Amino acid sequence: MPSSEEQLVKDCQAARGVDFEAAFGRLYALYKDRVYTICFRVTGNQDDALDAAQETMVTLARRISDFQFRSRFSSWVYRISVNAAIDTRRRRLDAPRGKVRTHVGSGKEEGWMADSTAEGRDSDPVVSAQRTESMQAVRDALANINPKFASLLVLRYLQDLSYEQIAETLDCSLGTVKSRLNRAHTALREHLSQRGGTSHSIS
Amino acid sequence: MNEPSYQPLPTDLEQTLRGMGGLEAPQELDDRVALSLTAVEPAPEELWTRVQSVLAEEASADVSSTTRILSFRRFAAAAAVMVVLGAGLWMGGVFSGASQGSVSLETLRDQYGARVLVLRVEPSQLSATAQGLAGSLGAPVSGGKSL
Repeated sequence: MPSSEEQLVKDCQAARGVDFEAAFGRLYALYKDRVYTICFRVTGNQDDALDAAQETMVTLARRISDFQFRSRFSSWVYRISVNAAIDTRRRRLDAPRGKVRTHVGSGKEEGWMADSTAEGRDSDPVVSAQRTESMQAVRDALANINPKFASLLVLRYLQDLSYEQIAETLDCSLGTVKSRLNRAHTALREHLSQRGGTSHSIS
Repeated sequence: MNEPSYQPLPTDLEQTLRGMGGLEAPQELDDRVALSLTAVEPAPEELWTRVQSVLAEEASADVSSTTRILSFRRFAAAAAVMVVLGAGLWMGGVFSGASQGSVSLETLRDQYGARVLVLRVEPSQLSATAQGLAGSLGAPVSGGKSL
């Protein structure tokens, strides 16, 4: 853990009242985008992502005094995020499906920076359209495959975590991570091939 | 069962996935978290003092209502026992009057005998078979004595 981050966590653990708000505010600013990205990609829509990210941040604030520095702080944050996102997605499946915000074409104000930036890299409109379509297909796949697999893919490819850090985050062995990641690859490929219409090489 | 061999994602798919990271959290998340954390203001000690006094009052109220219920139950049970005993004694008096020795056997015989039809007949009025049956039961069937 970077020493400044460790100091921030210790500040939060020591502070009370207004001091806590200030210390936690700095930690929040450091993690909010990463937490939101995990929650959004696992749940697949903004409403659920906000619910899960909020739950994650509130849990962090309430339980930060329990953190014992036995693992990376980021692993702890990611674990809480993944669990909150999976729980929120399951609750959504159990509940009647209402209208949800999906971010499509929503732009920066709704947290869609990465995709719109990626789209902007292509000057050729055909290539740009293909990229948008591919992203849409992968986004749908993540939102529809087993949420545990989606979480693994998000941690590995979107958060760029190593196998070791994923193992630490999910509290499982390295072998389990590799095995589950392999199954997650298969699930993603199968979903994309069933859906069709993607330009990805899925075999 | 053996795990299938590791199959990495195709490069273009992996690139697409990697390009989907780095979202920017909307302002709404800041507002929500700030609101949620505002709700966890540490409570002053006075709160517990107040809660404790209310709990103590409710506990004593619970005890008194329980006592009332119990006393009512005891009263009801005692009343029920008395009713049963009273009814039993009364019914016992009714039924025991007939069987007790205060009424003599002779009185009972006269009482119930009055309800039996008594008919006197002369032996000559009976057939030979009836005379034989009456004679076997001990009735005088000769000498002109009526049955």
